[in-house]
Amino acid sequence: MQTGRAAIAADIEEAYRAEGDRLFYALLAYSGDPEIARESVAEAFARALASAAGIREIVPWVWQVSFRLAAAELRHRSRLAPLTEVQDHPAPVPTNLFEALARLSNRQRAAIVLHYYAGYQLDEIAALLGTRRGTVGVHLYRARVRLRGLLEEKDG
Amino acid sequence: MVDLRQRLKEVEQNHSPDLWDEITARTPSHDERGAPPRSRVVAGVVGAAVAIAGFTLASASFGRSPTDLTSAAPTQDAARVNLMEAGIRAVAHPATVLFIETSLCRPDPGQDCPAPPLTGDEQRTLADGLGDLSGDIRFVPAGADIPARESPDAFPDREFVFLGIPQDQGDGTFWIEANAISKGRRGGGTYIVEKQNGVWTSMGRAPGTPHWGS
Repeated sequence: MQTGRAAIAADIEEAYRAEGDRLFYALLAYSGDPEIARESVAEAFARALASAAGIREIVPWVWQVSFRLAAAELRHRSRLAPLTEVQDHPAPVPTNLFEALARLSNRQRAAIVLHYYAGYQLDEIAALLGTRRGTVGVHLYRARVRLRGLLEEKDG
Repeated sequence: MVDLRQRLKEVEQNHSPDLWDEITARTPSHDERGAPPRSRVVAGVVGAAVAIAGFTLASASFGRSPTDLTSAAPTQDAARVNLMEAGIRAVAHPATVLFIETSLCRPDPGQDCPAPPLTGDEQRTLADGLGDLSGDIRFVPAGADIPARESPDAFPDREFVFLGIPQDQGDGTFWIEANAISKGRRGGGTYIVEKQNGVWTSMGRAPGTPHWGS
């Protein structure tokens, strides 16, 4: 029989096995950077392991934490970018898709990835991002129009 | 019409690493608990007893925060410039030239920063107050405005500092994001600022917020 902590770790591993890939890909689409996606997933699950007893629902928790970590890193990099250009790994593919996503604002990109890739509804996205449903709706609408236009343009 | 669900599935053409071993071996940068941000504020001795869920920086990115991010004028009898000075002192090193960004955020395209940039008066106050750090303090709207020939990325004796909007925690402290870049060195995070003997002073990094350093 597993101890309480071992059981919690097993639950978290199960959550990782079930959600890890999907979360990684969502963060990759959101950030456009495999390193940010990797770091955000690893850090979020490591924090879940460290504080498992305080978490009611692991999956939404790691989605929320990892997206916030990725958002923080993007924001940080946006301010470093004028001084430091770091690119030590290959760009993700397909290029057209990532270039189009990069043209959206961070909030639009979060909304579109969480809805169209991860399958979350407006209320769930609002809870994950810590914003209002109506705000998510606006971002999603604008992102949808813009992304479709950009992809049609790129696809020729 | 482009099928966005189908197109976004294309991200799966990339490799997704198995991170479980790394996760179990990793020491998280802090202990994040699942409660809502407001319920996680624990009043107490600054530097040891403030615990807030969520990430201040990320909250700013997503437009919500446990505190009022939109306030440009801190309360608690604190002039913004004093908080800025404490934030700068938390990260800056003595330098021949110290560049300070006047903007306090970099919003998404088409959106405005919720706080105005450092005013002329604030810049003069900072230049006077930080004289021990550098005899040549220069204010720039953004890092991109630093001429390449003077970039702190190229010279160890030049440093670039940029700050976030001070956030009133309602417990006698403010949190402020501060970052410094110089050649071969960069660091920063969110810092707790508290009045000590009448002077706003950084008490160290805020728990539960991202930080970096090299």
